[in-house]
Amino acid sequence: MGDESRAALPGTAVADWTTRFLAYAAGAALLWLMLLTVVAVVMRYVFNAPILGAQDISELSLAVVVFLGIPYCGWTGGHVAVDLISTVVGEARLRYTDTLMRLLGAVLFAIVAWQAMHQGLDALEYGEASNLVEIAHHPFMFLMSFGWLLFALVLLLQAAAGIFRPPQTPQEKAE
Amino acid sequence: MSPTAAGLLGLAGLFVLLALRMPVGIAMMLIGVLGFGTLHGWGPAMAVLGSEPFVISTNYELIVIPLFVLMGNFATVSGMSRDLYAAAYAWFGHWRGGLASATIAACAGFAALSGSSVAAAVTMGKVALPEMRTYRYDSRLSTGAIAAGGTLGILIPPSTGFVIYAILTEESIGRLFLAGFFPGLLLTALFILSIFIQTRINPDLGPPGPASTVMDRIRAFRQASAMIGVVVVTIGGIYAGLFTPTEAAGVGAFLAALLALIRGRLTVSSLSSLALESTRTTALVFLILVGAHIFNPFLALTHIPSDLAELLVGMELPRLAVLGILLAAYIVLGMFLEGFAMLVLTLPIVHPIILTLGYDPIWFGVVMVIVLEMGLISPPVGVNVFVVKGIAEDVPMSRIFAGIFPFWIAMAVCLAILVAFPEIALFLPNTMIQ
Repeated sequence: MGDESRAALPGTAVADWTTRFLAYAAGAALLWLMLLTVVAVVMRYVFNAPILGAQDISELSLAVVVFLGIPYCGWTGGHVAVDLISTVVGEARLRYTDTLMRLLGAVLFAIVAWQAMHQGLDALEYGEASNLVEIAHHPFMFLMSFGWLLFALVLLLQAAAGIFRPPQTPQEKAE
Repeated sequence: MSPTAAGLLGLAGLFVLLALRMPVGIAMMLIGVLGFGTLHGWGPAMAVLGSEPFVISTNYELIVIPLFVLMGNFATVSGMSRDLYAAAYAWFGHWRGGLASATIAACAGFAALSGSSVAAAVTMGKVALPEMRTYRYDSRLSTGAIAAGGTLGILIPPSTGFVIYAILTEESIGRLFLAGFFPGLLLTALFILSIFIQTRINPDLGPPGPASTVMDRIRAFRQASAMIGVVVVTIGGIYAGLFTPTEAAGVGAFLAALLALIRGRLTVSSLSSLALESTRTTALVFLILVGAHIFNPFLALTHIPSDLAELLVGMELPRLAVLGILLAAYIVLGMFLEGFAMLVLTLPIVHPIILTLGYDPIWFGVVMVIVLEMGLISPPVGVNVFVVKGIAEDVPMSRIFAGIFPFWIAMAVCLAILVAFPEIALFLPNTMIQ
């Protein structure tokens, strides 16, 4: 996001770098997920020896892709929104409502992160793990909590940015 | 507060948040948790916020989404879109309007590698538009063909739209994929027929290109055969019961990656931007899914969906009339709402109605995706139209919409055929090997 006025806000460069770095990690997890799926299929059909717990590992890898990806998607304006109002009201007037929406989102995801943390602590206490091969769930729940927290911070930063400059056009939404 | 009142209040709140441009997933989560808390207590509501996202993002079936997204992105990088267009061009280019038909055919091929209509429109548009310019195609026909061809992306499997439909209605992803196959081919044929009729009436719209030799055709076909191989393995594998959709997606992505690697297209920079893009798409789909899974239980608690279904059935309208009303409503909604948003927002209410009427939910999934596609190319907010506008900057919007209209009619015809002959959609899923 090479926008000059946005770059002036403190924390922008850090957010840019952090979300991108985590998204690369998510991308790596996705490539790993692809390879794991292929190897599992080959082992099952060619060697008649299915990998024990491949499904468990895949499921937890998916969580890594999702929760490391959500902050990046949020930072790059990728989350799908419905934009009808801007054609009626005009972009400039929407910066305050946009800011309000982002603040609401930030509060929500702070709570979600806190609840996810709870989940993780509970899972740790009760020793929750995947079925076939014992992989503890709590690290992934802590990762989820971290992803949500970062998303809350992204929304907070965007809310701050929205006060100082008109918002992006939402046509950035990918699909 | 009575459940119904809470439900109506919740729906009103949801629409306000959406109108104020809160992302769909966030708005559904927020209203869902508030409603759930009101009706069921705040303790359980808070617990849902912590647990439900984890349940969804560790769902084995849903791995199909990022893997097919990855496959589509590898296919794009590998340059298969160019091969597809070249092959279609060699076969159809000398027809009247042949370049536009080639665009449609290539879009259909690309759709079999990608679940996204935006990706299909962008990749094919970049290849096909300059060609059609060179041969002095009318900008209405060229842009209309790209916008329409792009919509095939979510009908022909793999399709993100079908995965979301399947998850929200607890149907089988594999069966929905297969159900989209023949309707996808039918729609492709109808699009080409529409071009044929248009250029018959007005030959200036798309003059024929030079004919290719038989050798050229064979060579072009062989170039594109790698892509056909990937499709046969993935979709054929699901049909033959060899792979689950998730496995098919993993194998397909791997083959597409291999192809990109062999062709020397897989550089560090293309791989890293592809990884970022795939992650981003995955994240946006999952945020919506999380939102839907928090909002929909609340909506079910309010009994609004079941009450509406009962009301509609109680009116004793012929079921075709109810279907007609639903489809008309979707077409209107599609003019304003984004496709995914429309799916997640309406399905909890519409799905019970469809079941009560005795329609096959798999068939309805196909019909709904076509209606959704019509929305993608309708004014004022058709997403695909903006995509085409981004590639053909000098063509005015009104001209693009005018060009789209004949294709829109073709889609309506396709819908009518599917309503009359549901077997077109249901044949493959009903004969697949489980």
